[in-house]
Amino acid sequence: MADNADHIDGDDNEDVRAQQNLIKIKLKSSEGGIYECGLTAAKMSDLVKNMVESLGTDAVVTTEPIILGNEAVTDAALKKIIEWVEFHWDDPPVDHDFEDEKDRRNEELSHWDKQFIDVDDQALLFDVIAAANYMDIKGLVEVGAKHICSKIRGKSCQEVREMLKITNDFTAEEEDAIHKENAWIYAKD
Amino acid sequence: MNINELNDDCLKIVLSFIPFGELLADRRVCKDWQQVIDDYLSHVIHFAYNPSFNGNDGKSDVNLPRFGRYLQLMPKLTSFSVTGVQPLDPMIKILVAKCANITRLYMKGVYEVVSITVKGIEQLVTAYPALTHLDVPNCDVNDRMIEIVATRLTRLVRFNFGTDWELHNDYRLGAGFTGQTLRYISATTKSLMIGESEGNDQTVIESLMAGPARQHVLALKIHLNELKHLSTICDQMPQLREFYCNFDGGDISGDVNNIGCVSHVQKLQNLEVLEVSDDGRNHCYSGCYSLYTLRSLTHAISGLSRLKVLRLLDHDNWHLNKESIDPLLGQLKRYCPDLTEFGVSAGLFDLKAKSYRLIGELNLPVVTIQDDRIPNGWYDDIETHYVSNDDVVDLLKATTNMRRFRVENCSEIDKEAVKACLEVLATRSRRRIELILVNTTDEIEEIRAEFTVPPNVSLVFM
Repeated sequence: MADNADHIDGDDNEDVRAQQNLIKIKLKSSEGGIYECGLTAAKMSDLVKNMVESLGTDAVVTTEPIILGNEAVTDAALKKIIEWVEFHWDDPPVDHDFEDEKDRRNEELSHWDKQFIDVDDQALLFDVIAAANYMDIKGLVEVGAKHICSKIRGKSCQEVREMLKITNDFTAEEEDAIHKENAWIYAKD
Repeated sequence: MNINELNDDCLKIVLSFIPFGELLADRRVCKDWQQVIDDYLSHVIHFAYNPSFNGNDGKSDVNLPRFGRYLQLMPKLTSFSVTGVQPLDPMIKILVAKCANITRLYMKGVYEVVSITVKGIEQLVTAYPALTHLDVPNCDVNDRMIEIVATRLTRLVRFNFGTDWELHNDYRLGAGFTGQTLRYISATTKSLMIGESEGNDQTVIESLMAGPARQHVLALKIHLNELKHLSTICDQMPQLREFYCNFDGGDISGDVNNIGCVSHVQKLQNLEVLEVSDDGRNHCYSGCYSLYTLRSLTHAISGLSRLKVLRLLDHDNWHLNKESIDPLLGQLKRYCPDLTEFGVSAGLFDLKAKSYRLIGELNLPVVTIQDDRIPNGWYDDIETHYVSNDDVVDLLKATTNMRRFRVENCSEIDKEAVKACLEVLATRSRRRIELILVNTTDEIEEIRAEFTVPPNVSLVFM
């Protein structure tokens, strides 16, 4: 629709994006590891994108690596993140014409994303999410969030706590009170 | 890292994907979660309400006290949508009482019931004078409601009414709509979607041309029963960027004399999206001839140098005389360098194997192919080329640029086509390609787990 005109016009054309991704820039984790990433892919991070735009592409390519100082950006997390952006940078444009359908489709992650995010190491999973949030990569935060939600769905509070290693800091009375507050949700009327 | 070491903003994003009912229950997990969830809810700006919130096994009847409680949790809402719930009027009363800041509203009720009244609309415009988006796609909007909306919502950007009845028989706007108040639609309104009414074309067009909408609307959806009005729109609204025009094959098949009007489309030189669809439904069981229009449209393409999207669709129909689409495809190749999407219905046109090859040659990232919804064999006396496995696969092979391929209502294609498509897509360097199958045969969907889906492909059944 007309008020979405900005989205319809989209980004640079695809060839330019593909070409730019051949340019490699260096990203440095909070643990000191330095990793290469295609420019277009790296710019899926709004944090990186803003840096590149303010410093200029030439500066970023030729000088020191971009330092990602947040402690969540561990070597392992950064490697995962680069894997994700290198896969997703040329995703099809968002489909604005089928809003209703989008809701249905959004329920499930793609095959690739499912395999990508289903890591055994929970600490790594949350590092990736926190790092993606810090680097402002909305799509990846969403993938992580959906994955966690698929795990939480249908579980009791106790099961959620066990799965995510959360300590219950409510007293029995407090917990009961919240349960009563929520009673209307379960009531079938 | 543990989940509770995520910062609050990030935890909020994670929790926002939990279904609503469960989210409230999860407040019991720990104090952090309770606080974050309460904070999240108090800042939520968009809420989409559907029958699953009613707590009555998915029935459409709204449970008003529950509805009120949900809204109570989200006082900062600016955008609210409701789908498949009824009745809407009492919901509006509660909505305006609980949420003061709504600017975008989408309300789709249940088609058999009187969905919204003048009083409901009055309440809305009084409570939300700054409303910018109003969609009531299956509400029986009348002249008075349009006048209220147009004159009192001074920031209205988008107004959509009566355009989506989900193929139900009683899909027309009722007797209270003549179109004569469309003249009040103000200059702020850029997107205007007008539903179908019976026999009011003349008033609708006259009123539209008499008001600010003529100059200011950039995206127009309209249903026409007579082709001559098409030329009026094209002559008077050259600023249009998006034009969605429905016809009724049954009605315009007698309108042969006005076929030339379609060629006026070439005056829409700013046009980026053109959708021409045949909306004829139950009263079109005898074959109709709506695509007499095709030759004129083929000619008109030469003026549409900015066109990005062209869809020639059919909702549910059967056509006697189908014309070849090949000349039109040639025109697109010649005149529309920016084209990225093409959709076509084989229920409307005579598409042969060659046509699919020509579509493939356009090499567009987004392609939709529809077949007739009338299953093969219903009209044995008509020779029809249904979309075949080869058609689909050949088109895909030629379209090396494909990002999203929708195949709709194709009763003749089977699992071999899906397999072959997936094999073709597996060889593509694109990292993500969507293959969307709509209304496919049950047999295909049942064995969906058997398909080997390459990692770069999203296979979607709808």
